[in-house]
Amino acid sequence: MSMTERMTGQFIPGASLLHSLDARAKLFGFILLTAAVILADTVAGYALIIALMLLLTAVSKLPVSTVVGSVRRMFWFFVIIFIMNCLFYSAEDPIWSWWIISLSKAGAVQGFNVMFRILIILVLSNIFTLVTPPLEITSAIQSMLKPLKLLRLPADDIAMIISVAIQFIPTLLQEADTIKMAQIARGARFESRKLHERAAAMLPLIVPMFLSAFKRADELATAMEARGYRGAKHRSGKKAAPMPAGSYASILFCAAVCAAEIII
Amino acid sequence: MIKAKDLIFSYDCEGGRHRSLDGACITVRDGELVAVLGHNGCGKSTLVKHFNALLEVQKGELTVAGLDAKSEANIWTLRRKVGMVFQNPDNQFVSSVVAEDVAFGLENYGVDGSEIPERVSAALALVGMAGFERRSPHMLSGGQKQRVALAGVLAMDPDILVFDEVTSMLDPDGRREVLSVIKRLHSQQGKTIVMITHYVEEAVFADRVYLMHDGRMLADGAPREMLTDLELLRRTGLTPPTPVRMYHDLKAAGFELPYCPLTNEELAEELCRLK
Ligand SMILES: Nc1ncnc2c1ncn2[C@@H]1O[C@H](COP(=O)(O)OP(=O)(O)OP(=O)(O)O)[C@@H](O)[C@H]1O
Ligand SMILES: [Mg+2]
Repeated sequence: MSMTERMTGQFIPGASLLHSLDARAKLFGFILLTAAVILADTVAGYALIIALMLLLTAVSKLPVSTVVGSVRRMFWFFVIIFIMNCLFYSAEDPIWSWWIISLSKAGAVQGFNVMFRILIILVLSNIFTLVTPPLEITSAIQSMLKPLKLLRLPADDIAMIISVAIQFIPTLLQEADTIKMAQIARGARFESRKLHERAAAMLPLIVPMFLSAFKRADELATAMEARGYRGAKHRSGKKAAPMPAGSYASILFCAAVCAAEIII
Repeated sequence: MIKAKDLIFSYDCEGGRHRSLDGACITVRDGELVAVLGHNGCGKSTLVKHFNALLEVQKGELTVAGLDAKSEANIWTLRRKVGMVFQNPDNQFVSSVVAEDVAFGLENYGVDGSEIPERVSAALALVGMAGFERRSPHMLSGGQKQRVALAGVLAMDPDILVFDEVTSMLDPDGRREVLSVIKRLHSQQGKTIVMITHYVEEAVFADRVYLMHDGRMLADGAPREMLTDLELLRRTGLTPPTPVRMYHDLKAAGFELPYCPLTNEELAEELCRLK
């Protein structure tokens, strides 16, 4: 349980500066910083990003292991991304090549870039969800999606759907574990070296997962209706409250980081 | 007060081959705790989902808290007056923070934001979960989860509470916790309660028991009357409570107890008296 809990960066109550910021400011800041990470492509740029991550972790007062969370589990994912880039990115100026494979310096640099960005963005989103209560994220998304209303899209409901979907990730992961255990007990071969055996083992995992997800969604919808839900626009929210000055300052700070990444 | 008369309902609507409700009648008086017992698929959930207009009345009469459940205009008032808690505690949470989840219903009804924290805390205190506001429901035990779900319903201060097998996924400790909260809500808060269960033991403390079978009611009456009637229970497809079975087994073996015990305590008392 605690494993899956950590994995998805579920909100952890706290009294840090990050916790106290307005959720809208945090969401906006998160988007700006994500942009900054994507823009970073020099050593100085990377250094700035890393310094920023350390700063955020320190300010959030969360344990480093929690902030890094799920990223550790994805070690092999990163390794594969790196290797793929090394071998396939560029055919020019190869260090070693064979058939369509060519190991190049440009590939290694690209591999590192991609890996670094995904990693930092994962950690960033982890920090964001760790310090922001879920329904506050919902209303933040809601106010950000307001322009969609001009297109007659149900912005409020989309925000609610996103937030409820996030809620269910830990439950579904836990369930995947349970089903996996049950299948292993019946002789499924998730750990097999042979790819086709592993693939064959996944199918009996995926089908019950889908069935159960539908059932859960159905029950949740009924429970929400029973509690008087009739679309997000009827809900009383903290929509009207203006953002405090500190929150504007934090957005400005994130914008500055973003600008710095463009310049360097 | 709930008054249902000859409700007929089938999921595949008009011309449905299979009727999930086939002339169900039930009356629940104000302040009463009524248990509905029946085997799997006999239509218990279908019946109670009519009480807060989750399902539309297809045929028959239904009045809940003085409102006609057939009228579309009453839906939202009905859902506020009738609180409903479901079986699976994991599929009822909209937030991973207890306080946010309990506030969900209040926000749906546009309750003023400044009032909300107070009402949330009061509701949590009612179910013995005061101080859990900032916790994550996913980290709680099954019994605690169900009590939080119950608080989410109580925050809206409904007159009627409907529990659809709320203990069936809990361990014995969780069941005891939730049952004691239900009893307290009934005796101290005077709530009208409809409790669906297929643990016959849980129906013992109800004021009245309905036995349901294939979409209609077979019988209703005091628990002592309903739960000791082997023939009736057999027709409903239920196993009698252990003490009742013991009583009849003993009788067959030639030991006649003075009366048929319903609870383990009564059984123990009777057995002690037996020489
Ligand atoms: N959404 C649905 N669509 C179609 N049929 C349904 C649906 N829900 C229930 N039914 C059918 O209606 C009948 C009554 O179901 P209901 O869920 O009311 O039974 P129940 O007494 O609550 O059973 P349980 O003890 O399993 O909860 C069953 O035969 C069931 O198969
Ligand atoms: Mg049911």
